[in-house]
Amino acid sequence: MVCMRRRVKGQVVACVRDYLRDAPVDNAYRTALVAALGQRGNILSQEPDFRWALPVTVCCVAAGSAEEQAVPGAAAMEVLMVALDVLDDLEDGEANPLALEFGLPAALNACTGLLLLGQLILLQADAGADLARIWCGSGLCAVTGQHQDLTRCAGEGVGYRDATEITAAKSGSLLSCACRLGAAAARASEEMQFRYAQFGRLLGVTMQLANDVKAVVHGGQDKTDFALRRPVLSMVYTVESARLDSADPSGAPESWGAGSAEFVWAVADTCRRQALRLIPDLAADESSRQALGGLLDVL
Amino acid sequence: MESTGAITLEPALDLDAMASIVRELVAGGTARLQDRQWLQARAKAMNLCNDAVAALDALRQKLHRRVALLADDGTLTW
Repeated sequence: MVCMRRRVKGQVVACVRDYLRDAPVDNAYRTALVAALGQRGNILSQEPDFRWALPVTVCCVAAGSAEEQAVPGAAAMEVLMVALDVLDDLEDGEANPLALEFGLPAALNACTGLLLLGQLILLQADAGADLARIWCGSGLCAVTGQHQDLTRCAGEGVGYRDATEITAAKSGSLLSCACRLGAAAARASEEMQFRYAQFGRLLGVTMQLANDVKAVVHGGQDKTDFALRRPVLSMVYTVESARLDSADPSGAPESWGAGSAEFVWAVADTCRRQALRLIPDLAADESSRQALGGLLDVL
Repeated sequence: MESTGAITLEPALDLDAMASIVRELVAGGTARLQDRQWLQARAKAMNLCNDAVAALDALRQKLHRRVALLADDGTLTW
């Protein structure tokens, strides 16, 4: 299992706390930001999982620098992703603790603040402009994927390739960002940063598809999934199965197609294998290679 | 600047072919899950890349184990 050293975890938390303390906001707004960052698993919660800080630090070390060098990038990713997670819930019409506590408008306003706070952390780091540019490019890529996810339907011009590209844009770009931020913090060359970004993109797709498998296997039959026909691989497969099986191809599927989870798992495992093959070009030392490989232990 | 999100899968994955093989695999029962040669032949006929073939074979083995587990105690785990 890949993990960060306790001292570096403490530095990431401290970095977020410092920027939050010094931010030119009043106490009421700061309270909303703390509430968002304190939701379960988030960076200021009782037990933060450091899920976004981890790839930044692993890639920073693999690219030849000390873990501490990754702290601003890791802290920024944790803050930025809290905002995107809340927004994702709200865009999907799902219940979100922050919106329940503060109301929808204030929750949205807190997300705006978190996005600005994350960028501020990046801009004030070493090579801050480069780090911020990486985030802005990846973030725009992610929201493009989100837009497609929200506005397109499986089967209506969205095939397997389209669904995979939407996943890559939405999820792959964010892990790509995290990995590239780590490499950039280590002052890796542009070429090496690009390689880390490629690795991160495949890592992100693998992780998202692994989540999609769980949603099919353990999530039962969420009627919203079928009503919206989200443009994800499992739904494209299901719609295609219904088309192959049914005399009435216009009928909407009401359950996952046989083999849906298995298909998504196979695609995820393919991406995982492709990411694994990139690792020898990313890191010279064996421990870093193992750490990078450990990030892919999600299937 | 980042690209618009197209992933670089080298060589490009033939997802239609993978879906087709998975459909046949899950519909084929235990005999097909045991048949590595069938999978290799189908993958070769569809010109799938090595990573996709390896993933499909890993899936085949995983499903085979699951079927074995089913036969023993009736539980089904992924």
